[in-house]
Amino acid sequence: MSLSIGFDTGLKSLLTAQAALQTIGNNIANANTPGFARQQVILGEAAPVTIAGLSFGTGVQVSEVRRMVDEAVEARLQSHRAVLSRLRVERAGMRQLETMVSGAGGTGLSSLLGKVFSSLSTLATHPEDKVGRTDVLANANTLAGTLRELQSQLRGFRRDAMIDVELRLAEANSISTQIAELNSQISTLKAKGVQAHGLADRRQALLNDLAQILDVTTIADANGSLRVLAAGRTIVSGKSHFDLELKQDSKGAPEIRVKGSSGALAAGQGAVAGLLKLGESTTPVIQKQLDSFAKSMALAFNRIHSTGMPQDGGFQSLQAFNTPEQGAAAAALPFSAAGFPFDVVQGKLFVNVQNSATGELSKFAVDVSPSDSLQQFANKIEALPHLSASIDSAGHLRITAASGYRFDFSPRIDPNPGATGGFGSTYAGVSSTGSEPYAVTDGSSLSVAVDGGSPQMITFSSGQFADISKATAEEIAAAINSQVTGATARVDHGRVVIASNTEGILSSIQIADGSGAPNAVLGFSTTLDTGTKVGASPTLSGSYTGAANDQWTFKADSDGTIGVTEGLTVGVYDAAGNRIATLEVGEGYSAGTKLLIKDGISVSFDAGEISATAGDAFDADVLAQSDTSDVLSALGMNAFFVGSSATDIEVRPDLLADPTLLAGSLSGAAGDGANLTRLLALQDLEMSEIGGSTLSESLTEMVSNLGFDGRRAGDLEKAQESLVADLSRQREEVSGVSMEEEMANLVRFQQAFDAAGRYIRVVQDATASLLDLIR
Amino acid sequence: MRVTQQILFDQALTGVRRHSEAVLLQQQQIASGRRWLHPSEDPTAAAQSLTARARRNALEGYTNAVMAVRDRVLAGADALQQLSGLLAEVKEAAVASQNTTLTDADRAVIAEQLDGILTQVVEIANHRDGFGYLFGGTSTETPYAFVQGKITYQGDDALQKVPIGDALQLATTVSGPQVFSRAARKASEFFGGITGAKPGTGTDSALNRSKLSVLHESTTYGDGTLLGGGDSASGLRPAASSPNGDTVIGPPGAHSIQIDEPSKTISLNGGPAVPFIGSETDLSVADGKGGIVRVNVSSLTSGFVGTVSIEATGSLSTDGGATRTTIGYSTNQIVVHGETKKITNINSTGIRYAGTEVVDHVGTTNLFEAIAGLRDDLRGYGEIPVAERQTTLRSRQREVERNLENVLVAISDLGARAKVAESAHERLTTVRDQISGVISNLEDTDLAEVVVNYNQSQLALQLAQAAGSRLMQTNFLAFLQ
Repeated sequence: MSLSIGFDTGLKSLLTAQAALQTIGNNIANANTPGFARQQVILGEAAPVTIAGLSFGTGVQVSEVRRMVDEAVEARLQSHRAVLSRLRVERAGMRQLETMVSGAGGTGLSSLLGKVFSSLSTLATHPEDKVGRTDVLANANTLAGTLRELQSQLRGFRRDAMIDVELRLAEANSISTQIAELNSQISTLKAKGVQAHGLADRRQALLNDLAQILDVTTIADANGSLRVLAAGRTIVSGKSHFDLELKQDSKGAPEIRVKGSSGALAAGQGAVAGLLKLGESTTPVIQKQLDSFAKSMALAFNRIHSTGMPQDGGFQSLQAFNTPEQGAAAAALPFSAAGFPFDVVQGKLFVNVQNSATGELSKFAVDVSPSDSLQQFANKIEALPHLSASIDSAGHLRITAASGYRFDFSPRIDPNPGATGGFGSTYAGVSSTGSEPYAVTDGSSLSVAVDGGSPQMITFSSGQFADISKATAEEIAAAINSQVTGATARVDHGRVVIASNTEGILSSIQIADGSGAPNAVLGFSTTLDTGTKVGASPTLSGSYTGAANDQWTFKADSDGTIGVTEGLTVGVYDAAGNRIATLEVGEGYSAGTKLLIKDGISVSFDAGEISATAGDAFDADVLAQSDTSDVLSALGMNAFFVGSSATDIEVRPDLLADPTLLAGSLSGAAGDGANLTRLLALQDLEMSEIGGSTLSESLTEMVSNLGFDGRRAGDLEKAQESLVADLSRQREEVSGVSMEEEMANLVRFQQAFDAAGRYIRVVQDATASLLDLIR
Repeated sequence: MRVTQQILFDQALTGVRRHSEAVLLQQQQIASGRRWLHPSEDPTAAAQSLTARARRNALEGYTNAVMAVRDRVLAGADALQQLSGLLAEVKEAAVASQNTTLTDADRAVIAEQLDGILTQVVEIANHRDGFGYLFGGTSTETPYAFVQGKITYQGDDALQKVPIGDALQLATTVSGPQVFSRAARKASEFFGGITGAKPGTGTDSALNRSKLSVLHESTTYGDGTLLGGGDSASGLRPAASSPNGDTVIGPPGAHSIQIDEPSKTISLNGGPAVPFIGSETDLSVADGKGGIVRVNVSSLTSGFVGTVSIEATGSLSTDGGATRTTIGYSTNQIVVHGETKKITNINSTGIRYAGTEVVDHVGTTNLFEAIAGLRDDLRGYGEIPVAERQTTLRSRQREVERNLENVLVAISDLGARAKVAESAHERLTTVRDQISGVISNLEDTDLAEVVVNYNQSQLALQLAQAAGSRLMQTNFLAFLQ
């Protein structure tokens, strides 16, 4: 056996120990390098030699410098770091949103809303107090301003989030570029059979950084390069990389795309996902809630305010604040398509027209439908006595009362319903008892004898009716008026009343059925009715406290004189026909004395004669809400707030300029604060528009939901941090550098090196001894 | 398990970080005095706190309102206390005025005193606080005013009710009509009784006092067939002045006239015989009981001796004759005032004479009318029929007393409301304080607890830092060295 083999063996040992020491040194040097995985020298026995049939070992050799990595743990860690990154961004954003929405002490909007109601409560004690009115309006204006400011902050927050997304995408693109470059270098080296652990470590560090930004996965290629996918889309492949960009989809929503491709990346994990969620999901929900709150509040306040009256009473002229989206040009469009801030629904608007000199009030019900146009609505108002309506070039509706008249939309009771004829009037009169439509036949006739004169034949012919078999009360009245003299027919709450034009005891009316017996469906009393010196003149008073609108019908139960006839009563019926009160107005009743009916409404009668035989009756609308169509809110007529979202809500500017316009009254009296009380009741009103909550509850819900979401984000972040820490520990166990371990190995390989050196010396000495033998 | 320096370092750092966070949070709690600064730190408490704050805001609104209501109620009660004092003086004057020994000068002095009181009463009726008239209902900018010489209410009968609780409202004042003209109608009374008219069965709507005029319209004698309604048998005819001069009213037979042509005497209803010569066309014949007929005796049937039945029609009016109702001799006839449309029900069955009756619509005289009426009665004492003087003054006294009762009822009403307000204020304050306590529990830092926790966290932090530091110093390299 040659001694040179011994040299070889010793040299191999020296080189192996040196390589091990180099690896240890590298490990120690990179102990704190991000992404570094410790390396380990794997030793192997050198190939043996066979001499004389015997096999001899030839020492040690470095089989491999192994990079100690658990790929599964690495992948999991990368994935969970992306989750953690998203959660951290979300939690930080949630904290910012909380600070914005909840305000100082967590009570911003709620506190401001409370101040509005508190100032309303104070004003209700002295409705005529101008300072109190200013206080209410200032508090409401502050609330509206805060909503606008908050909405603006949220818009800014979303904008900032998108800017942040763009910055992070730029960073991701830069990292992708570097990874592609490293791929190229690694694959080149690998082709040459060189291990590129350092480059792999750098690439891993970059991947870790990328995972903070995007939801990335990797696929190892055979040539050593890594394919990087973000949300399933390849962004690095070999030495190529594909930049990402922030774009908007067809609806304007932001989305991330690979440059040059059309598909959007699904937001998964990473900071970008967190930012997108904050900007496009969390914040819009809050904005929507704020808008919903602002809209509901505006609608609720406007519903009440628009039906109230300013300090100096009804309106001589009133202009709508809102216009169709397309201005006057859209006045012919249905409300449902005209783009008003609030929906118009099928309902009624009650309009009061009052003679300023006499105080006489007329109440009219206007049917409103969402299919009506602004122009049609204006025409309906125009058709009311003493009112005119016009639409200006911008599309504002203006209602104007004739000189000497004022109008309002208050639900106040009409104190003198059915002023002439029909119920104990000084004018003789009879009313129909049948309900429209009336099935009258062509050519049928009715005899009307007025003031003792000869009977006048009223003939109904098809030409007078749209459909004579379904005649309306208005058509019947018009047909009678076109033929009768000395009397007038009118419609009172759906009934036809024929009354003599003469007042007093000489006044009389007598109806008789003629050919075709139309009275069988009309139901006029055929008993002679005579006028009286004193009318029963019912007077209603009080404020209706019922929950829903109703129509009460008052009918004489028998014939007699109020205050005189023993046992004389008047029955009161609701719209469903239920008798709700019996009023004793006979002997013992002092004319003019108020009799309470129910729900805050009283009635008094003058000492006239009433007749059940003549069908004496009158109706009264008792209103909880005088605009069931929301048309006033939609048009912004006598509104409290204008605008319908947190972006544009504000107190009506002219209210702020003139607090006397605050509609705190329902009667127009200076000290009447009935409408303030209705506004105040909004604090307890559960509104379907905000899920059955009150306004205050809605704000509490919004803030507490944000709090719970923030709390949940914080909890998730903590849980994720623990998970990442655990995975990091697992990675450290495999890839981390242990100084103790490295020190021990250092000593071990130092000793190995020393031993190899000694061995070589021994071989050298042996070789020298041999050489000495030769000399 | 391989333990690397990084693992040790991370673990030490995690511990230090956790304790630092706790110390920071506790520092914030101590510095701000609040348990949480962001709702996410305690979402449940934040939600409860917001709800409690909203409730406290509402209660504060009610508390402010109830104080304002109480102030206004007390202002009204103070004004009415003054009014009751004045009415007590009026009552004394009313009693004193019935003393029959008083001279006209004495009555004039009392009337002057009443005039001064009336001025003060009007001032009280128009009492204002800083916001409007207290007794104008909700029309707080319109006072009582003199309209055509009468003190007339310009306000309304509505009351401003202010919410002072979730389901509790309290009116801030009493309206003018409640204090000054609350009616408690009773059966009307007639002062004179000379006409035979009596209260009808119906219920009047007229107020205060009415003057019922029973007016003669026409008289017919016997069969009434002679021109102008004369009697064909006796030849007796009504004089031309009969419509305005006669005072008898009644159906046929209610009155009669006795004629003795031969002795040239004529008498009414068995009254004093009036002599005539036979050529008189307008002879006045009175029955000594208020009945007068003006007759034409120029065509009497020669030698006629006998009794002639009289039928005299008449009408009723409460507006001085402007609006007349023909007497129908029924138990209830409605007489309407042409202007006010107020009605007075009359039993006309016993009407026999024309004349004027004062109808007292008992219980309907307002406070101003009662004082002014008493004053005017004292000033016009001499014009009141002697028989009616005491009745008239007693009636005035009765109206003053009734109005004083109304005022006392109103004071009592306001007093009760003030008590309700006080009670509501106390309750609201208590509940508000309780809610403030709840809010404090939800929001405020329990300093003692936090300070203790802070100390513990600081200690834990120091220990974590020390342990970490020590751990970093202990390694194999140091051992090798």
